[in-house]
Amino acid sequence: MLNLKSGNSSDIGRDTGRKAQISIILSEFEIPPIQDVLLIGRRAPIGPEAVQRMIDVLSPEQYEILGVNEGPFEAVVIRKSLSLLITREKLLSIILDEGRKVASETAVLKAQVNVVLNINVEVDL
Amino acid sequence: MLKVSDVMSSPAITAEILDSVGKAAIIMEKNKIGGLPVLDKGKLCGIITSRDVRRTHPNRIVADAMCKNVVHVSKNASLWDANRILEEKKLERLPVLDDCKLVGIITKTDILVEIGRHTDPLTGLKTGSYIRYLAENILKDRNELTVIFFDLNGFGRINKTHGHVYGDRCLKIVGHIFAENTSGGLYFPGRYAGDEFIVVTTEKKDDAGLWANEIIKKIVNITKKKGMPVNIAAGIAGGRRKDARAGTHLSATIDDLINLASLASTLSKRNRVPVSFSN
Repeated sequence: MLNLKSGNSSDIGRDTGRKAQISIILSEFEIPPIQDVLLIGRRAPIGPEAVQRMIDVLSPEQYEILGVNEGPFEAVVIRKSLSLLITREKLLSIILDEGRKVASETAVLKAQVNVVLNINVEVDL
Repeated sequence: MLKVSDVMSSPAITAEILDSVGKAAIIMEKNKIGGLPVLDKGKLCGIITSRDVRRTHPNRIVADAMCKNVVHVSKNASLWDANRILEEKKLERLPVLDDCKLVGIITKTDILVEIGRHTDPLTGLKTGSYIRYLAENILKDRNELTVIFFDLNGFGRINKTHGHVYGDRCLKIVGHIFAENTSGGLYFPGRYAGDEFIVVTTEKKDDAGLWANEIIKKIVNITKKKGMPVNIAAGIAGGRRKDARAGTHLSATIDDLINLASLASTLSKRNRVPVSFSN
């Protein structure tokens, strides 16, 4: 954050200089920056081809892009590893249903998806 | 025959695949054009039009707005082939390629203006160059090709006796008779030059001879009824082979047939018969 304070004629005698106050926030760049799912609107500022090129460079082979042409969305980017836990079709259906409730054609939404498997196994003692 | 390379704009103004849509819009506006071929490492990979620009966010890259299934045309294709592609695909412009390399762009307007020059304004018939194009296609498709060359008798005398306006009216009537009697799609008429008409057909020479005799009778009768009597002679060539001669360019074959038919029409005049066949 950069704040500039400038003096004026009434400040003469008290503080004649121009000072800058610098505030720095450092945080880790999230790689990949799109988390688990990205929903791309039809009129979004970034399209599937650009996203494809971005993930090819930043996170090669970790995501797949699906053209959907459904509701406000043109494409969905899904982390491939999610399909080990839930089928792609099922996940896509849930994501699109929820996404279209909040998104417009110009939106690019990222979603964090946590899949927890509850497994109960009964064994003979 | 007019080729795409004779009419295209070259070099084509292009966009790069990673340009922004906003930049593509500026290029179009600056050059007052409605579409840009898109290049990826020098190779044609799409086309972006002003319509694509209007419906896409300007921050997007061109790759996300362009049409990827780009229809193109060879620089050696005929103008009429390019027009057919534009009409069939309902497109406004075609990138022009020479051996996979983009060398220009041709628009519907470019083609229509040029094709308009190939319609004879007096008779409404096509010009000789268009008929040559049809003839080449007939040979390319391995169809029979017969060329019928018509020449009005004593037309110079008609012009000198009655004036050129009268002569033009005669030509208009004759052109109209040709147009009315060739609507079946078997015979294709054009005005070759001055008082000469040319008709190409896929019919054999004997059938073409019968048709030529009939149309000559009609021309004589109709012009007589309209008070502008003209006589006309015809010469026929071809109608005996299906392919171009071995080792001969199609265009040369057409030249040869037109020349033979023209000489046969001279023979008809000399012998005072309506139709003669070339040997």
